[in-house]
Amino acid sequence: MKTVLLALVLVSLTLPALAQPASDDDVNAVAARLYCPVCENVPLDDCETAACRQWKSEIRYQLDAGQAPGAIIDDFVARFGQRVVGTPTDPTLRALALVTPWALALGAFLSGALLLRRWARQRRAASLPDAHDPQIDYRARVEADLRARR
Amino acid sequence: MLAEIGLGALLLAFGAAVSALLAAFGAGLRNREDWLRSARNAALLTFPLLLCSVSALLLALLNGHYQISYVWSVTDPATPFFYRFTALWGSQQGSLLFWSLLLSLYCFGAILLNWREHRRLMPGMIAVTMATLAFFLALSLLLENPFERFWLAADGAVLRSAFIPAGAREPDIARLAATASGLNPLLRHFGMIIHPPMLYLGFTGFVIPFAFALAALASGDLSATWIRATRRWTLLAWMFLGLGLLLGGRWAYDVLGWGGYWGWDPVENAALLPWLTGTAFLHSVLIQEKRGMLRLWNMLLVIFAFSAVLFGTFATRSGLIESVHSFARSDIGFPLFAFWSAMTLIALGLTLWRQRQGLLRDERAFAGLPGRESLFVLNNVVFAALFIAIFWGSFGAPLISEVLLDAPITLGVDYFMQVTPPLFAVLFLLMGLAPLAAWGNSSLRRLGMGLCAPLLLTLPPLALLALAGMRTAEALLAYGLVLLAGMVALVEIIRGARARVRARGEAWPQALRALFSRNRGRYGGYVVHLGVTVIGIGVIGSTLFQAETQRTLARGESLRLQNYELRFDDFSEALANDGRLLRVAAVTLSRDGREIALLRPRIDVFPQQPMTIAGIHSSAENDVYVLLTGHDETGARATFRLTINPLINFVWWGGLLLLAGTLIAAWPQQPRIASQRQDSPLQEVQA
Repeated sequence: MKTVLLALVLVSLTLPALAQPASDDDVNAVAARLYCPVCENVPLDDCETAACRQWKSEIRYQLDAGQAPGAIIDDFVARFGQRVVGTPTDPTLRALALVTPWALALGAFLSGALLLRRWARQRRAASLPDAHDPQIDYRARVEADLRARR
Repeated sequence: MLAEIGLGALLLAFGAAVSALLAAFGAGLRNREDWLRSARNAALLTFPLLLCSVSALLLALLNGHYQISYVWSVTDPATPFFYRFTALWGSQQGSLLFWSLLLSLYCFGAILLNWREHRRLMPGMIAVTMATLAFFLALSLLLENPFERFWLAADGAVLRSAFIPAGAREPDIARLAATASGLNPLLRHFGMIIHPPMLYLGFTGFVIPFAFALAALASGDLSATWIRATRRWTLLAWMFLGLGLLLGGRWAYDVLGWGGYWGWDPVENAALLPWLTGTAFLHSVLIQEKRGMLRLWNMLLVIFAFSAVLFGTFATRSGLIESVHSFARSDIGFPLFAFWSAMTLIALGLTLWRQRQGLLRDERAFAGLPGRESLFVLNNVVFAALFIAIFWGSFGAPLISEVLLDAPITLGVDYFMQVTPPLFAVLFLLMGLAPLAAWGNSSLRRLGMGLCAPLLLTLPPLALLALAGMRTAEALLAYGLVLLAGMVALVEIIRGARARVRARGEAWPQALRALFSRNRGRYGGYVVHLGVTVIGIGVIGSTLFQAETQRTLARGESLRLQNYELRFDDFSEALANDGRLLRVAAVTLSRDGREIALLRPRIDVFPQQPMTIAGIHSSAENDVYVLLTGHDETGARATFRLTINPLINFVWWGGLLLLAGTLIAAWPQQPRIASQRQDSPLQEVQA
């Protein structure tokens, strides 16, 4: 039994070495989700500066070592902070980033809806005849005169 | 001598702007016609003076006057003539001066064209434009002077000053030329001759609507006058800004070497924000013109459009944002921030004051939900939501998280692709519905009837796309909405022309010409909608269906992507006339086994940085975009990135349509109609 377990451990240790090396496309798929702090606002896969090439080499190394893309990104975030990802992974910062614009947009939509509602009320109010409006009496008399003339 | 002429003209222009500001302010307060004339003359003078100043700097750039530190920093003896010209806006000082020139050009045009018709608004208009111009000229004179020169002090130290320091002498010109920096490699592109001027024309153009709005607020003349004076200027600024954004996208596509044209970079977004606000205004202003509604909202839109321009300028030029599009960190950050805050607060304060007086109250009540005005209100709400989402992602969240939470974050493409597509989808839906709704009372039945023909025209291309293999719901929905909006515009144009053909017996070309010349605003607007539709087709195709692969190849080896194959044939190095080292790969592109193009992607190695220039095979269907991203020392092996961008050229073609539509809409009406309008008050009096 011990021999079998030892063999399994040895096989699992050699598996990453036997695995297919990461392709450029694999590296770019991870790099596209990262931003280098030196070249701000340029995704890593599009950047060809020395610093970014070094990061891409590190991604390749980690992929070759069998790391999953998510784990590699978490590792970069842990070492360099939340600014290296296009959307923060930290739940509080992520909520701040993603929920706020929708909340503000909802506010804008509600304001628009309230405006339309106010207009509708104004219109209804304007269309109701006012019993005390002297204009109405005057118009009624004019219309009565016109009818009498006909 | 050129430096003295340029600086002298700049000083005089600043003096003229300040005197125009004071005279206009006094004329407004005391109602003095002579002061107003004086303000007008001084304001008009700023343009020729700044033209003289900019010409002096341009001549210095063209003739290699390296003692001027700006010339030294953006050119060198190897810089070609063409790029010496573009170097005028290649760095902070030159571009600020150029910015001021364009601002004074707008003031010049607005004063001459509106002097008679809008005399009552002139004091406020001149005061606001001249305050803005004086501020930017002060920045040029005090903090970013493009006419500063190098001097050698007695102890051998190199000094930079606009005037000769005591005991200093001129340095050796040959030595200065030998050490000159040359233009930033990123700016060595044909697009650079046209992209920045277009963008600046867009930015500076928004000062005129803003000035008229403030003049109306200050004078209390909040009738439709200021709107009439403003709309065409807004359209002009909006058109230039749109063109600047598109040309910027093309520059990024050609020069930055990442296969795309819009990266949601904060500087790009800073230019998009006033464009979005301007678009909202151009729609909602129609409601004020036709129905006397949204008076407060329109005022706010004009204020926010110019405020967004000033904020974008601050963000780009202060060093607040680091980007390939921004200028280096500079001392003008705080003054720009203060000016932006002051102008925005003054404008909002005046608006609040007039609102409380009831001068911004709507003249008419809302007529019903399917009415065109309610759809325009929804359109404005979506524009406002887009503005908020983009501003938040570009500036709000990164600043708040860094300052308040001490956790710097970047909101990149992931964020914008989550937040903006639903809003753009609603915008396209409204773009399709609003032209079909009537002003005032409308009905869902009328809307439904109007939609029949455009829907019938939208379905066949959608079915073709589905048959061609496009099965994803998001793509079909996106194309459905975009095509519907375009078909509505097309059907409306055809419907209008057909009515003329039937009623007057005109031939179709004659009917179309008459239609466009009689109602330029409406039908120019439809052409703009068609342009936006074509851009939308390109954006969806190149975003949702972009394919990409990268591999290192030995000579003779190939890589495949979809039905394309790229073979690496050769690699060579050469030295260009301007000193850059060219590393060029020769590749053969085949499609379905048939050779279709020989491309030469290359890396240009400048002393400052390398640049990756793509080899592009362009067709209506797509662009095949090949980048040489690396190579070994001998050039025997090279790494290529192959990107297929479906329908990307629709983005540029749509831009041309958008330009055509805006020109139609902004073009003055026929003289016959104009003269009728001028005569009408007299006719009324006679009647």
